[in-house]
Amino acid sequence: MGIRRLFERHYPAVVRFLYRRLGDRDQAEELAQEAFTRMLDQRLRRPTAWLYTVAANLARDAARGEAVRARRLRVLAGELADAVAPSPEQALLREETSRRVRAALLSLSERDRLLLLLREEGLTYREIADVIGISPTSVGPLLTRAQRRFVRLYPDAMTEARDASTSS
Amino acid sequence: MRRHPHDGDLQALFDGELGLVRRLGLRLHLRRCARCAGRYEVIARTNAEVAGLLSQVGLTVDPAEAWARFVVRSGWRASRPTVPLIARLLTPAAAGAVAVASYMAWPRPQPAADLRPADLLERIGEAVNDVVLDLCCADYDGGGLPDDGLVTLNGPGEVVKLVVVYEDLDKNRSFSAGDLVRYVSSRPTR
Repeated sequence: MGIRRLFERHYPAVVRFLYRRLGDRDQAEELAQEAFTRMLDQRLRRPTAWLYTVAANLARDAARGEAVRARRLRVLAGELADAVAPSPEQALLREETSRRVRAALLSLSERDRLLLLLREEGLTYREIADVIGISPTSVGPLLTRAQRRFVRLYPDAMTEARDASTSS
Repeated sequence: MRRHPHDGDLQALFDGELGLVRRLGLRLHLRRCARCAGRYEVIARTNAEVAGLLSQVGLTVDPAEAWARFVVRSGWRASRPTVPLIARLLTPAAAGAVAVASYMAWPRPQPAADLRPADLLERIGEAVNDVVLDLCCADYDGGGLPDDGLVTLNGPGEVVKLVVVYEDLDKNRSFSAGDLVRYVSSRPTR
């Protein structure tokens, strides 16, 4: 498959994947472009897994460090405080949900977060296993646990974000 | 199936990741075991909930605009057609000259509107040891629009085996099943 078809097929999903991990659209697009640029030099048998592996590594490098994570939580909490500006109720609710989801994702381990996001982008168990470096048969059990943790964390995510903000 | 399945098996069933035999075995078990059927329902609900939450963090991306930026960022490498290693050794100008000369030198190009691109793609796909050049897009048919592509199939020693002029109807800048064949130097043999 040519690079253009790969790009058209995967670019939006890779950007979405990175955006959900990083919460920054510009950064997500930048890293997605970087991942595809690196792909130009490769002859790949399984390009999808390779692409998401590179994207995940780029995202991990971009978000590395507890300080970065803490800062992001503070930003999320700050955004919530700013969100009281007058706007349609539906949009506000959606925005708050979005922040809460991102905060819950940030609270997960790297592996759990990758499992959820890669599955959401439609990767097969084999592709997910390639990206994370586990056996394909482990994906099902780990995915179930990751989903449970995520759903359990979600209601508390905003409280955590607020606490991070007040303690700084 | 006598033993109760693990949650991971139920998750894999939900995700369509199981083989036929395992899938049928689990389905049969779920029909007979109310407890496991309940567990499966919980997993399905959790999956739906997670998908619903993640969909709240979405964005819209314009691939065409992103592609244009990518082509520039890649130093135009991304926009070059994919060709075999030997063809990549030729400079683009030399490759173009060879392809156009091959096309012009062909005695009687045949009108080929009745030929399906799929037939030619199959023919090209079979020639694994040959060099395929796909040059798009220019005005090869003299129609005034740069919407034509030229495919050449060269054997060892640059023996031209096949020349195809096509109209890039699906605008993907390469010869594909959605295009219209304008001329072909020889019909594919079955």
